[in-house]
Amino acid sequence: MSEITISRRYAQALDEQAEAAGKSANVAADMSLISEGLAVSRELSGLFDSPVVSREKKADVFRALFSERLDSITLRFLELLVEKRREGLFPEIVKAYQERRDRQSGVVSVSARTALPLTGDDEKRLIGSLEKLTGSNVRLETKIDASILGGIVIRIGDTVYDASVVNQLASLRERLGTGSRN
Amino acid sequence: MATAIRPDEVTAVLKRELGGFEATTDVYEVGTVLQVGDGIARIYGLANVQAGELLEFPRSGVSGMVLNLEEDNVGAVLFGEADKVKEGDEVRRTKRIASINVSEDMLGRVIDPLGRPIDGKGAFTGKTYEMPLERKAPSVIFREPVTEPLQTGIKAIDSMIPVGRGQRELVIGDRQTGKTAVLVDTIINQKSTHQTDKPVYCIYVAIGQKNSTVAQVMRSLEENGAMEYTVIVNAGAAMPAPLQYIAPFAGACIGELFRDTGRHALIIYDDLSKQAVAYRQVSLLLRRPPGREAFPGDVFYLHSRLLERAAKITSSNAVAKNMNDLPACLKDEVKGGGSLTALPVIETQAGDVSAYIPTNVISITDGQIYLESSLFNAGVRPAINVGISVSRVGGNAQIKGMKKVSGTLRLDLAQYRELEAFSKFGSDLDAATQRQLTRGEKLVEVLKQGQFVPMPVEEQIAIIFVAGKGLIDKVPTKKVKQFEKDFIDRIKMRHPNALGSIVSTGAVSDELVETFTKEAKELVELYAAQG
Repeated sequence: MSEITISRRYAQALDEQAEAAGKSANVAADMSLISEGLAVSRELSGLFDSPVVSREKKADVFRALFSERLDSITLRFLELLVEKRREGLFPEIVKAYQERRDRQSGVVSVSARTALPLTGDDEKRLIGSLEKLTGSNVRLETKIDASILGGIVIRIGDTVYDASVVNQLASLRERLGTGSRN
Repeated sequence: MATAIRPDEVTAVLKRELGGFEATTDVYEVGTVLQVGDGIARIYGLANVQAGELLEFPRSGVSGMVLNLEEDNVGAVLFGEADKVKEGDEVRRTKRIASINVSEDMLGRVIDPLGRPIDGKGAFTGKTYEMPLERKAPSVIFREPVTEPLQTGIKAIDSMIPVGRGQRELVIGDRQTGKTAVLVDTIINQKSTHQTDKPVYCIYVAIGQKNSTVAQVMRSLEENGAMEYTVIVNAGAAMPAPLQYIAPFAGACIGELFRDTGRHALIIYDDLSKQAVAYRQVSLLLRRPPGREAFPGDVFYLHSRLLERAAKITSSNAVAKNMNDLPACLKDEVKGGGSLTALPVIETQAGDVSAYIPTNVISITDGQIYLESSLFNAGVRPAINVGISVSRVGGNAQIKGMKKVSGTLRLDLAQYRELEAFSKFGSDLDAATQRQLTRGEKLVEVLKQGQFVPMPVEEQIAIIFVAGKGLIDKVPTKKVKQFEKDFIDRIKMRHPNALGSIVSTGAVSDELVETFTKEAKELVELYAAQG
């Protein structure tokens, strides 16, 4: 089975368990705490990925590290991952978990790439029109990408709205190119 | 006369082209390459993509086609330089089912399976039609029985295994038995149809062949003036397996352009065993479960849906206009009465016709022409084993005259082969048996034919008539070929209208029978006098 499917299943199990215990918010906070930790600490992400460290050791480390900070459900979940040797999939599981939470709460994650930083006003206007377009709440992630030269590229799920200068130049080149052959 | 280009004209054109430059937003759907290798890509995303849809890989400029839709990824085959595609590349949907641009300028040219010229003679300039690679075959109401002959110019085929326009006739045999030679001759023989109002356009699809072989075929066609009405689709042995797999479909698209516009076309798939192997490679890499001989389960459907596209279209324009699954670009140009004849080729291994692919294709087609290496080596060329070759529908398409003279040919040859085995024991044979043996010997000799010399059907009728009637039994076997030539010349010289009447009426009149008999007898006497 592919990693994506597996991650989705673990995420579903975690979410349903948390919901049944009424601790969804805690677990969600825990998950982002761990993934932030992974992003910051190379040692921690190394520990997650390493096949050399034994299962018992990993479980011990997790307990020592997280037992004070995390909800018991999250901690048990980590132990389960270690037991099933799936701790390496943790980043994918976090992603699947967040997607799932977003879907349930009606939030759409949108990424926008611009050549120059957006001003606060622009961003507000953008979010406003995106919310009108999608009909749900929008969580906007912006990124600066000089290679698009100008304009904006917005991605919602698999759909891309491309109003970048580089794309327009490319289509112009194509149009003029075919024109010259006729 | 060309006038000089004025700068303001250029500016105007540029302005017009640049006019739409402001405020355009492209909307497209994307995915990401998860894994790539062996000409296959696994893609994450593309949630709405359709099976068979064309994909673009903008960073590398490669295109691909979706074959597998799975729970969390999409499996696609890559056309072109697969090693340029990298993990993490963006993939775009085109929302177009894989198709090629077919143009009538393709006649006389060599193209690759994506419709691009590969003979260095420049781009196609004429009108193009976007034809989908995978298109459903015309359904029953848009078809007609096969009634018109497709003359191959090969005596053994036209007399005993006749092929009709719209038929699918398999050419099967081991390597080096002259399969391609038979097919090239058939293409060359269509030259004569271009003087009539029902010309036959030809498409030669080469799959997994050496480029040198394809070049040779092209040269033969050029030398015999057959290239001008022929398109060669080449998916050489060095091309990626996905291209070899779609090559026959690309050829079928071109054939359908002629078929659906009321014209006649002949398509040759040389050969489908190599296509099946290419498809097996693609399928196994896509992790589809293997079946017999490791071919995927749908290899039968692969060939049956391809060969179903060969058809004789109803002659009613009104009915043909409503044909199923017509591409939009063809809607206004549809005419009835067209046909697409398919001659698929299968190469057997050591004469084994009970292997998987040969049995499949035998069961799909309307008959088969067997070529045997033992006959080939014995000097019987074309090496057609007429005993086990059949044509299930071609009989209705044979012209009356040919039907009349070839009636007993098959039987005579069968009896000859049976007696031939006996005569090897060398025991004394009675006169009747002797006669049958000589008759068979002469018939076999008459059916031999050189390469690149297809024979018009009226000449075939004349010589098969005299041979079948036993009029040439007295001619020494070695001189039969010479006799054949002399006899045809004699008829042409002394009865200039005789052969023409067969062409115009399609039948052999009693009067003509007399003429043939008389002339043959006279000529045989001349041969006898020579000793």
